[in-house]
Amino acid sequence: MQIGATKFYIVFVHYFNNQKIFHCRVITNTTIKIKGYINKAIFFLLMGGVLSPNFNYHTLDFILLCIFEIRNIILKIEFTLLSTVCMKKNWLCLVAGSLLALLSCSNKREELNNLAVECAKNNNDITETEYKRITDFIYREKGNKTFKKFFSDSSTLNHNEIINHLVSLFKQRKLQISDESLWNPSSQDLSSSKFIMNVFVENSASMDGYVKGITDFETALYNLLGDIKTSDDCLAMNLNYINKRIPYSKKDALQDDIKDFIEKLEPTVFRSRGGDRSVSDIGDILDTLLKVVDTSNVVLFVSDCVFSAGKNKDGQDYLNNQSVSVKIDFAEKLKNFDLSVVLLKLKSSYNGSYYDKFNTPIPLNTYRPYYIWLIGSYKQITNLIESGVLEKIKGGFLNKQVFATYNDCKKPEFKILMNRKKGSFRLSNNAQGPIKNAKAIHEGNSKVFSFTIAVDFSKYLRDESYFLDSNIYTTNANYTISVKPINDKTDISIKDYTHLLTLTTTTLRNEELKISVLDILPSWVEQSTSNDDTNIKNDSGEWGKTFGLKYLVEGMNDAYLQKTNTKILGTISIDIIN
Amino acid sequence: MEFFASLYEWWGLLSFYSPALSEHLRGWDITCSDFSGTPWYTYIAFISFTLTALVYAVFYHIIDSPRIAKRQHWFIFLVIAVLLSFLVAFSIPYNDVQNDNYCPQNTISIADCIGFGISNAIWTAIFFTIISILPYPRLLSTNCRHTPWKQ
Repeated sequence: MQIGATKFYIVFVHYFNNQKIFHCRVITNTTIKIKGYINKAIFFLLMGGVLSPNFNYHTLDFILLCIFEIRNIILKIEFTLLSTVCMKKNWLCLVAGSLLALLSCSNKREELNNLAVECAKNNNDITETEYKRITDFIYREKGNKTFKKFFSDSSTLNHNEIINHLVSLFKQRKLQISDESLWNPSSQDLSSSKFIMNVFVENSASMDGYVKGITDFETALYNLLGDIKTSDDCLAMNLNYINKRIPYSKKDALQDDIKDFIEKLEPTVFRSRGGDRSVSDIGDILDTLLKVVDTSNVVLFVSDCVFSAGKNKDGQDYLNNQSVSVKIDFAEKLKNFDLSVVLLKLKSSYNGSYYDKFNTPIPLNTYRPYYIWLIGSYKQITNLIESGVLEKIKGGFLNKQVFATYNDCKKPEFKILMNRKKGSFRLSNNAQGPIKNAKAIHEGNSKVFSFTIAVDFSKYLRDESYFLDSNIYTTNANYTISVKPINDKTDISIKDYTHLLTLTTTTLRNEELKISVLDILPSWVEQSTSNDDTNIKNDSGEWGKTFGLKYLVEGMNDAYLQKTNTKILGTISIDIIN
Repeated sequence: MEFFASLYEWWGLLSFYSPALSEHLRGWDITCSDFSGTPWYTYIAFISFTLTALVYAVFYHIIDSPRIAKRQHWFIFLVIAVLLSFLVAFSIPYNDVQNDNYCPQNTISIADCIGFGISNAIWTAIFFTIISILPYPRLLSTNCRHTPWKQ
């Protein structure tokens, strides 16, 4: 018997050796008297199954099956309104059964199963959208014990478990869903680095200054697009303008199309190609772009990233809201996709109207920063960075920041060096330690012990300069850290590493030394942020800054922090024994 | 391996060569990553043991002549064994040093190679003396069974 989406069994045991069910005390204060030990046992078993957090109808089936096997009793467990035995008693049993059913209605597992079945019955398949509905449901219930197996850690979905559950569910419910028609994220070629590049150039009014005549902006962009288009990984390139909508698109652009696109980067063409150029809602634009990004599509977005709060708006509130909006959008995408983002800051000549935070046009003729975003999967972004196309941008870039989850990089490769030390020690196993027989040496009034490790930070996709800041390192012991880059690649013992960390202490003791590398926003983000650009015409210090940049970047960073749940990029552990 | 290393390093009490050579002889590889290189301590120990046993066999069982049955003759053979062992222990690390076939973070000098040769030579002398003292298989020798000490 089915009511709505919930199937439930009601009541039970209507006849066995002339025993009868009377009433049910569960919630309604009616009473049940069950005669006979067998029936009592059955009743309590069933109640235990129903009220347990793991109750589902399969549990009920299993319990009853056991009873059948043990006692070889044929037990009828369906409710019959038309039963010839006392109608009054059946009526009460219906009430009892309904209440039992209500208890089980709240079972989330069954809700999930029903959702999956509903999706499957649609077209006899599970599309990517339907799969996402299912995973969204699971994600919302991540605190539920019964959903624990669908997570590989506190926040990462285990897609293999989800797929296995769906396959098993469809089999049980006798639904003909083949493997091919069940959308499976792991069957997508996630390891592929090939992509379709979708270029979006913001054409709001404030961008006019970058495209008047031939500018560094156009040269750099043309050079970059040309390099990407000719790379082995780029399957195709789509060129777009974007503001509040996408007013212009050129699909599958060839080299001539790219040339034409760049040549037509002029204020008149920006205006003619339309869209709402009056405001720059960067948050909305990023939301649109994130919908484009998937395993086959990478986005390249070019913008001045200047927020326009508009007249009569509280700039601070607006920026905070934008930051939260960006965080939510990125966090949502990160749930099911290993998203990586490269943010490049470049500069170009600018001759046009700059729109400040109140949207007031201010004529400006100077150099201004602009930003290129690359948004894709970790694999695609890694390959783009490693291909060197970013380093080949004409005029170069000023700063770079990469956002990624770095799931496989929590323990960077390192090697303890036998030279560059103060004191002495032995390595008895390998170059990862432990350090044995550590002895300090006298230096002045103190005893100093120091050693150097070579570390490979290349997997973090960040500028080498990020790792030269000693503030990003913390230790759990009394060690100071100094850092140098490895420039000499002829030394075969350290050529595969990027940095040398020298650790020094004056309190040598037996301990497990842990060096943590922190994931913090680089200082250039704060330095590039303008909080008030209304006086930009007269304040040359504002020319190289971007209104609200920090809020934009922090929003993204918070999304990644929420995903990884840690501010630590990686940790190195070394045992020290003296 | 550590057994031979301890012997050659005299359990840390005497130091004929630097820790850098010690690491190399333990098998510290050329990329300075782990002990996956040639474990020279073990190899040199077995080579020296074999050479010493060979010299012993030559003296006591192969030549075994009354003309070389005196103590001074035994001493000459001891010196031969010592010299051969020194050469083996010196030339192997020296060869690696000359060919830069060691972890570049370590600094190994010729003096280290000589020191290791001396250490191996001393152990050879001790070993040769010990096996010369033992009754067997010395007593199987016909003419030298009482060299260098009467049994």
